[in-house]
Parts: sequence; structure tokens; C-alpha cells
Amino acid sequence: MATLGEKFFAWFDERFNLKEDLRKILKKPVPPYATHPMYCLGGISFLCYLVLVVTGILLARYYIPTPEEAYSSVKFIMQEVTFGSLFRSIHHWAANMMIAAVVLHMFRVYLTGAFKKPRELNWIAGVALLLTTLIFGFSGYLLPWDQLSYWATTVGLQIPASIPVLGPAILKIFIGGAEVGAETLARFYFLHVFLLPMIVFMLLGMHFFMVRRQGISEPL
Amino acid sequence: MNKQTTRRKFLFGFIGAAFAVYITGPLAMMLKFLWPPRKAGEEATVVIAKASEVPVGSAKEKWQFEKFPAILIHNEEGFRAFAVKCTHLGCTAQWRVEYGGYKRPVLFCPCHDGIFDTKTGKVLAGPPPAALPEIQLEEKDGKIIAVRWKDLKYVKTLDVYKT
Ligand code: HEM
Ligand code: FES
Repeated sequence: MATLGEKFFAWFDERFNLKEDLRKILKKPVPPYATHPMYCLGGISFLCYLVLVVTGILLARYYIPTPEEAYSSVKFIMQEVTFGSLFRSIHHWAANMMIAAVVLHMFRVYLTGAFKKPRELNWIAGVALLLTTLIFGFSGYLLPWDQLSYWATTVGLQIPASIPVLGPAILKIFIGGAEVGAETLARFYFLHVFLLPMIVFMLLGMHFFMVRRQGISEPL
Repeated sequence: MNKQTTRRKFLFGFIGAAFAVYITGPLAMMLKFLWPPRKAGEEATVVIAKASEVPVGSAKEKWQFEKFPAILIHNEEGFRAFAVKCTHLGCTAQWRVEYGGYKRPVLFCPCHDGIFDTKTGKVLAGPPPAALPEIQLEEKDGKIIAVRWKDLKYVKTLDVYKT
């Protein structure tokens, strides 16, 4: 007797002929050398990202990205909303964990020489992912709109501003005005909940596709 | 086809059920999160009791206002309600028809012998630093209803009433 799940799957399989393709994707064995904990760091980064997406969508339900409302809406989340402080704290810690995991993942890739031919492009996609993750954290940090985030942004923006030649233009695009203000908050919010998630989504697609095509690099 | 439950099928079902239980908790929490909370100071309607159930000289305890334990008191002047989370260290003050030298009803906090007045909520004796906050009542169809803090600003100054 087929279980409910099997019947459900059979309905789709009958129409789309999924079995073969899915078998290839899901049943691919992990090479034994790649079960070492160091090889889990990429997956841990991804898990952090998924947690951030879910908790971020929840936070966006209450967060209001204007100078008047930002701080009080975060306070409202922390003090009034049921489980609000829980989900905000999970978002906060997952963000920190993600950055740690991404950096360690990069170390693993570097130290096992996995960036060498034929995986040059995947290394570059990874660098882009590291950058977007860092900008993710930086843009999120402004959103509570308290003194800490205001000055962290004011000071932090001096880093891209110090890039030779392009610096001032980059600063202008991020800041949206003469100093950190309502325009900056709007831009950072747009980055944080729209542009960066889209970019990360695309980069991850490329990253995972390349990993699958090329397999996990063999040990040195 | 084989109608028997194989060990494999049983274990898969078991793992599936465990997973379902495991995932229901977070999902329920997310739904609860999405439900908009009432803003502080917004009108509430806590139906406490029928007016006839609380005759003059008595009180009704064991109900809550804004998640704080509260009491409804009926004296010669009418109905009054207070939150009874003690302003000292947060124990629950209780109704006493008489207590010690007081030959009239008082609110008594058992933790450090705090005594509050039943008409004003003010401190009569003991360590509590401030009066119990009063709750505004309304009477509708013979029912007594708690609607809001009489003085929300005052409630916000009380440490043990921080949420
Ligand atoms: C699609 C994914 C995401 C969405 C929809 C999202 C949404 C949000 C929202 C609405 C806030 C404001 C609420 C608050 O300040 O607590 C926030 C804050 C924040 N986010 Fe995200 N986020 C996402 C992913 C990320 C990622 C990938 C990172 C970093 C690696 C990150 C790091 C942060 C940080 C550091 C804060 C500030 C936390 C705080 O101190 O309050 N977020 N996010
Ligand atoms: S807690 Fe009530 S008197 Fe100390």
C-alpha cells in the first residue's frame, strides 16, 4: 500500500516525470573526505541565511523604516509583540553566526586549496557572497536607529569613502544626502530587505550549481 | 502489493511524526508573533464578574488585567479595582477583611508584610514604595468590566509593572 506521501509524489511524477532528475540531485553520495566538520561550514552559512530570511520576514511585519518610527517599532517588537524579542534575538545572533561561518568557510576553502583550477569562478562568487553578507550586516545594523547604529553607520561609511577615486561617489550612493539621515535609512532598508536578498539568492544559485557540477575538491 | 507495515515504513512514520511535532512549536510561535498585540493604554474589556456576585464588603480576586493579578472591591462607595502586584518586590497582595490592628478590610502582601488601603490603593504600612495602580471600571448589563489603567503614566513609573 502506498503511503499518502507516495501517492502525492506519484501524482506529480506522473505529470512531470521527476523521479530520474530528483534521484540524481538527492541521492548523490557525499564523498567521505567531505564529511569532515570543516566541510560543513558552507552549509552552516546557508542554514544561518535561511533562519535570517524567516525571522527577517517576521520582523518586517512590525519594523517601520522611518526616523520617527524605526526606534519605537523595534522597541515595540522587543516589549509588546509576543515572542518579538525571541525572533529579533534569533535574527541578531544568526546574523553574527552567519558572518563567522562564512569567514571560516572561506578559510577552509583557502587552506584546502579548493580555489584552484577549475574552481576559480566559484571562489569569485564566494568573495561576492562574503561582501554581500558583510553589507547585509552593516545595513541591518542601522535599522534600529539608535545612537549606536547611527554612529556606527557614520563611521563605517568612511571605509568605502576612503577608496581612491571612487570613494566619494560610493559614499554618496549609500548615504543619499549630506549626512546619515532619513534617506540613508530608506536606502539601507531597501538594501537589507530587497536588493541584497535578491543578490544573495542569485549568487547562491551560481555557487551551488558550480559545486554540484565540479564536485567537492579532493583533499590535498 | 504487500499490506504489511514494514519496519522501514514504521520508522519513517515515526520520524515523520516526531518531525511534525518538532516543527509545530515554531510555527505556532510565528503565528502568535504575527498576531498584532494590543497597544498599551488601548481600551481593554475584561469582564470581571456580575455586580450581584460581589456584595458590599466583599471582593473578587484571581483575575488579571494586562497580565497582572487584580482585585475587584465593593465598598459603601461602590466598585473599585486595583492591580495587586505588590510595588515592593512583586508578590501578589491579598484581600483581608481584617488584619492585625486594622479592623477594616485591607490589602495585605504576605512577602514582607506590606499593607495597602482598599479605597485608594495607598501604602498603609510596610516596605512597598508606592500605591497599587487603580483600574478604571465600567458597568454594563449588570456586569463589571475593567477597561483601562486609571493613570497609565503612573503605572509606567512602577518598576515591578515593567513588561
Ligand atoms: C532576506 C533576508 C533578511 C530580511 C528580510 C531581514 C530583515 C530585517 C529587518 C526588518 C530588520 C530590522 C529589525 C531589527 O532591527 O531588529 C533587520 C535587522 C538586522 N539584520 Fe536583517 N534581514 C535579512 C537578512 C539578514 C542577513 C543575511 C544579515 C547578516 C548577515 C542580517 C543582519 C541584520 C542585523 C545585524 C540587523 C540589526 C539587528 C539589530 O541590532 O536590531 N539580516 N533585518
Ligand atoms: S513584595 Fe510585597 S511587601 Fe515585599
